[in-house]
Amino acid sequence: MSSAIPMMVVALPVVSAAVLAAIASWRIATWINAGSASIQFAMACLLVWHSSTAATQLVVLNAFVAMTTSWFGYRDIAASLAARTLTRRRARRYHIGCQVLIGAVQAAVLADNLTLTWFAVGVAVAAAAAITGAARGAAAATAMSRLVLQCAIGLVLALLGTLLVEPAPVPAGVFLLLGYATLAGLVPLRSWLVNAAAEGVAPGAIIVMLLANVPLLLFMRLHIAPELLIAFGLASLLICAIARLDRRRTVVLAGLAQLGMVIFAIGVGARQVAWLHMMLLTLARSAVLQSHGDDVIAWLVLALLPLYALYLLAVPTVAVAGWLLVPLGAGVLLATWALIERRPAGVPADWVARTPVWLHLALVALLAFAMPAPVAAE
Amino acid sequence: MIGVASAAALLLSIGLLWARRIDTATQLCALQALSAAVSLGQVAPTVAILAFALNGVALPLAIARLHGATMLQARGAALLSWTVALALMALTGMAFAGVGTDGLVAAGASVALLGLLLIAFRAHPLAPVLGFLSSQNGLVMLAGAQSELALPTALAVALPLVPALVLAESWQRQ
Repeated sequence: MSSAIPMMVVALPVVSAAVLAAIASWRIATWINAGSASIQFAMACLLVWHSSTAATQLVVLNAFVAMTTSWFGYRDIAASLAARTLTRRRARRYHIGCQVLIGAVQAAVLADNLTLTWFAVGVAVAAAAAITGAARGAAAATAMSRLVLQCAIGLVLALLGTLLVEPAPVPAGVFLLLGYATLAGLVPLRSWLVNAAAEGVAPGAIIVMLLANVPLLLFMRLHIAPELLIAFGLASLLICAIARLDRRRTVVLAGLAQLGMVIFAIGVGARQVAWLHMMLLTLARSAVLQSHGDDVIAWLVLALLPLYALYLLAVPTVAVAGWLLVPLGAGVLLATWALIERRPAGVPADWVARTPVWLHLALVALLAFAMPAPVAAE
Repeated sequence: MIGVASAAALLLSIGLLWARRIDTATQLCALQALSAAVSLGQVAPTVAILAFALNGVALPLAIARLHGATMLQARGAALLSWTVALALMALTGMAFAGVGTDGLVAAGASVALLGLLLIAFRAHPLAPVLGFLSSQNGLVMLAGAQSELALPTALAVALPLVPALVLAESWQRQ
């Protein structure tokens, strides 16, 4: 982080969190949250204008999702307060947690040092726990406990891998993969993300899931054995695609299955496809969660993404080993079917609820058909 | 000196897996933090002192203030836990046999992984805190094996971010 803009992108949410800690009114806090996210998005755009790299593009994506979530999450917070699943004090914790999480995720993406990334992810995990635990009830408390325990295991393994990079690079790769895959909610410790998304405050789930993109960026940067990445990606894809749960959990699991595809794509050397799929997935999954799973179009876009990725991955996969197409294809079909089977009936009648969903879907279409040149070149 | 300290830390990890009382386990953790700090001391004395102050004094004291039930209930068969622990040590020993000097890397990685085993094999609400604290001690030992200890690495091992996070969660749950 050499220039001032990246520093400001990271510092702004932290300053906003400090301000939010002193604000008692949840309405003002919501406006501050939305304002801060919007300024951060503007700065992220400036950053990508200045230097367009994989990291800066991910920063813009994170800032965009955070901005739409904070603008349109207002109604969810109000509804949660009315339903008493959230108190004013807990709403404050939620808003502070959101800002800290966004700042930490952006810091993790922009950091050029593995240990600094680890630190930022650690702070993001603490913030994610605060967001998940903000909702009242035993289920949210259990989800928070599971998040803390499983992510803590991931953090220990990731730091172990980080410290081993210099003396023993090969085992280091295994620990980094296990640790950061846990932090992305992938197999074997995936239940924390599913529960956090299902039991936490509705818009919080979208923000918490931004954390999953940081490990994927690291897997692209680090030199981890491709065989490990392929095996891990396929295991995540198949295990997450097989599970059958309620609608909100199905969305999260389908997203995790597709994260498995991203890791698989990195393993077969198709980083460009991995990057594109990660961006499309983040936007499509956010669109579905913004609509509370009630928008059939967003739902179908998320369901069809694995097929699009399979089409893009076919040639690179065959170049590595043709038989890999069988488990990959099976996983893709299972993940797509799981979503199609649980699709909602129509679209929400309320245009305000539809706006963020359509914004996200428009970006999905734009990215799918016109991938940004720097991404294609990387 | 480093070899003796790392061997002591590894033995204390095995002792932790045997411990039946939470206060005994906490004391073993504090002693292990001292051993880990000694192995880091020659590379970075200031960081070692800070690591011991936080991992060996502050967090064990916080655990002592928190715990309610005194017995560390075992989860699963003892034979299974011992088999897994021994297999883990053997595997780590083989993987890091020729790495570093004085067996510090192998011992540090073993301590870090045995700490995670403690979480799996003990049912006490504070077992995760103890397990992560022990893992942190292993990470402190691994930092001692670095040729040059950069500031972010020094902070990552000296500040017990993960055990503190788990302790805060346990405290909130209580």
